[in-house]
Amino acid sequence: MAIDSDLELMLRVSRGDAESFAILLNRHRGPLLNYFVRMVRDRALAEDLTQEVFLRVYQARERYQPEARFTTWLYRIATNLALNTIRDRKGQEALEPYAGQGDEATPPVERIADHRPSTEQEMLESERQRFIREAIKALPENQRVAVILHKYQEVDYRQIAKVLKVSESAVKSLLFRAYESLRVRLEPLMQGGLV
Amino acid sequence: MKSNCMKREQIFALAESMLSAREEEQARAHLAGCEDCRKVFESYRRVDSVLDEWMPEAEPSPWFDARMRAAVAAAGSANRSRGFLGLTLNRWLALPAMASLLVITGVVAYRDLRSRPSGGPGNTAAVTSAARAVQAAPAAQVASPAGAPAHEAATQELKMYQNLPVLEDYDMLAGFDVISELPKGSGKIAD
Repeated sequence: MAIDSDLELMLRVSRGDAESFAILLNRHRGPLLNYFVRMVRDRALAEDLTQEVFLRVYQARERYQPEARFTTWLYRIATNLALNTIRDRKGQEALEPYAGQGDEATPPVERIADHRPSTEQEMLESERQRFIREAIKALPENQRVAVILHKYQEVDYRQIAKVLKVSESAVKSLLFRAYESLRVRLEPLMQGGLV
Repeated sequence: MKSNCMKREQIFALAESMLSAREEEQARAHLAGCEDCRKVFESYRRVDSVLDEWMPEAEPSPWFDARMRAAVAAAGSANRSRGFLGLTLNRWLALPAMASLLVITGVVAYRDLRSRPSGGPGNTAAVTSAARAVQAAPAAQVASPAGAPAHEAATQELKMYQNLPVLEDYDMLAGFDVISELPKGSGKIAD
């Protein structure tokens, strides 16, 4: 049996075929969930955002135009959602009162940077993985998105360019700058440090 | 790095397979004879292999599909209940009710206006006093022969009040009377 392309499936979804939507969901929910886990570093939130992306795809099914690859569209929605969520969260945390009482005595800058993963996730992570996560987190937004899409989601340069709405050469330049930073930050791991 | 070394960006492009076949061949030939460039190339490859270690590989929770189905069903039912121009059925039903209410209010207001004296509320007192004068005139006519012109004058006054729309602002006219009655030479107004 031939495997239907995402595009064909989505066109069927736009004509009201629920089964095709289920196939698309089953095919992409895992990679998308992992994308969000890497972007927002919160497993439960990542799952909510994954559902939100598919819900938006479903709601926009009748307006769907097959102009680009389905995954480009999917990752564009996902990236916008992830970046908005990160910005909102930073904004909310910045607005929290810093009264200097009890746990609130933590300086605001430290609390803004404190996007800790869940306890379960922390237990599963090794010291080295935590170090990598922090190094990627320290990258500027566009570089972080480019690295995660290129390295972990295996999205090609052309698609990343469409997701970020920049040129293909700009994506390559973003990746180069990101790797230059990572080369310095990850030096201890490259020397075999941390377990 | 030596002066004939490749640019770092080119070395990175080689490590990430961004170069064309011809460019790649040239770059590899340079790397074979240049230890500095080879070290840079290796450093990018090591970054890549370190990044490979960060593989959270999360799986969707067991209730993911059920929640997704519920969300899609809710979105579907919301769409179904939306009708022409995006208004729900309930809102469409509310429109004729609101229109009927407006028509009824308009009719009641119109009938109320029609039932009022033509001069409006402002001249009610003037009309009443003129009417009283008309009613009182026959008695005066009996008592005095000069009553006939008085009755005539009162009737004229009543007609004037009823016909002049300007008297709608009766209070304003009454105010003019008060000003006209001010004694001459009392132009100074006390603070």
